Amino acid sequence: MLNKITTPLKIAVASGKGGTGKTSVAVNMAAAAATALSFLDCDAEAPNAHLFFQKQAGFRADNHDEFFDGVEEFYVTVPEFNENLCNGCGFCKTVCKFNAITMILNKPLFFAELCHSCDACLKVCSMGAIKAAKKMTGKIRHKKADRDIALTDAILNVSEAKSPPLIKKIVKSDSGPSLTIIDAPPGTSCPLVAAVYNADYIILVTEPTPFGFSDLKLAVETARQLKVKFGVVINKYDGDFGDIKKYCETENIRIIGIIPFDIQMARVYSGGGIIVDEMPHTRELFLKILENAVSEAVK
Amino acid sequence: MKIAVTSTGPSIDSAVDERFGRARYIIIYDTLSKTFETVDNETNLNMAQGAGIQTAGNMAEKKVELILTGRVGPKASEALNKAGIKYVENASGTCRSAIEKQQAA
Repeated sequence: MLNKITTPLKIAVASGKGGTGKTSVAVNMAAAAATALSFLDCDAEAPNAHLFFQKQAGFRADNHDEFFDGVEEFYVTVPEFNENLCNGCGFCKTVCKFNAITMILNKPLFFAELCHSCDACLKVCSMGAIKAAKKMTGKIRHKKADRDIALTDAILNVSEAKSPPLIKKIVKSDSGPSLTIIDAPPGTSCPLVAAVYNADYIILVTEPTPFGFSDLKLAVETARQLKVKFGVVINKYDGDFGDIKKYCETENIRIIGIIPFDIQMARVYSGGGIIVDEMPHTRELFLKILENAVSEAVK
Repeated sequence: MKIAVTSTGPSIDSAVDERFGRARYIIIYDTLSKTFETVDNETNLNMAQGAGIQTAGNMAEKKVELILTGRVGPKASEALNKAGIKYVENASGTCRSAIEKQQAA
């Protein structure tokens, strides 16, 4: 069924709450797919999908860069101020929607960590006192297809606060031949939106806990606002759905998969293993989730 | 000398607001004329980010020399230092009592 995908299709895996099993679902769907696909790890603050693929390929966990075939630096534009040319008009401060500039004694004081690289200050300065400078905020890493899976991830520099430009970059430059699996960052704010905004379908992974349920509702609201189709996977199901099943029925949301709570799966995952490889009977389960997502996406 | 106190209300007898950048009001007391001016800080209070540094910029514009407040964040602190404005943290009680306590010290 997956081999019949003719147009590029992006399936994102998101959750709201962290730790519900986004990466588990994404990595194991990819491994179960047995078709050429592109895998984007968009959790730029803590990318970890490569750990599973590199263990599978026999690389040591502490030797990340050697595993990747290419690493490129990622830059954003930030303003650089020349006080000697500044006439103290304060227009740069006025146009800055992010309050990254304040005027102290008629000179601009700039805080790079608040800057969103909108370039407004650069455009309004009539004195030529502001010049565009580049700031390296992270890296993009590529791994050529191995076992049909071409991996790209984004890794934000320590102390940087803004991952969306980096995430947008890998999502936009993805040239997946047919199928792309996106492992989205947790939460429902800008980083998540950057990862899923142009996806064809979002798999919302939840767990039957009060936090899992609460964040699922936020993630559903986000997906609806973005007008991206979505369905729910309930992970760590231990015989009690809590309120999730009822909620999905009321809201007319399709549950496209249920993964049982299984200590052996947790053990394999914690050891950096791919569940569908080490527990072959689970392959069908993860493949079915992916197939359900694909058939919903193309509907 | 102008002393600014972050305040929860518009009067000098209002309680001190522990927040600097997101204080509701700022009372600026002039020790020479013994009068005070109230600055409504609502715009900064509702900012998504950068409230502290904008409030610091306003204080520099008002030629404030000393600020009494609960706590100043790292970015606001940098802006105040650049402007040469001193600040004292952990102020409490009413703005009037905070100013009196500071003047006695």
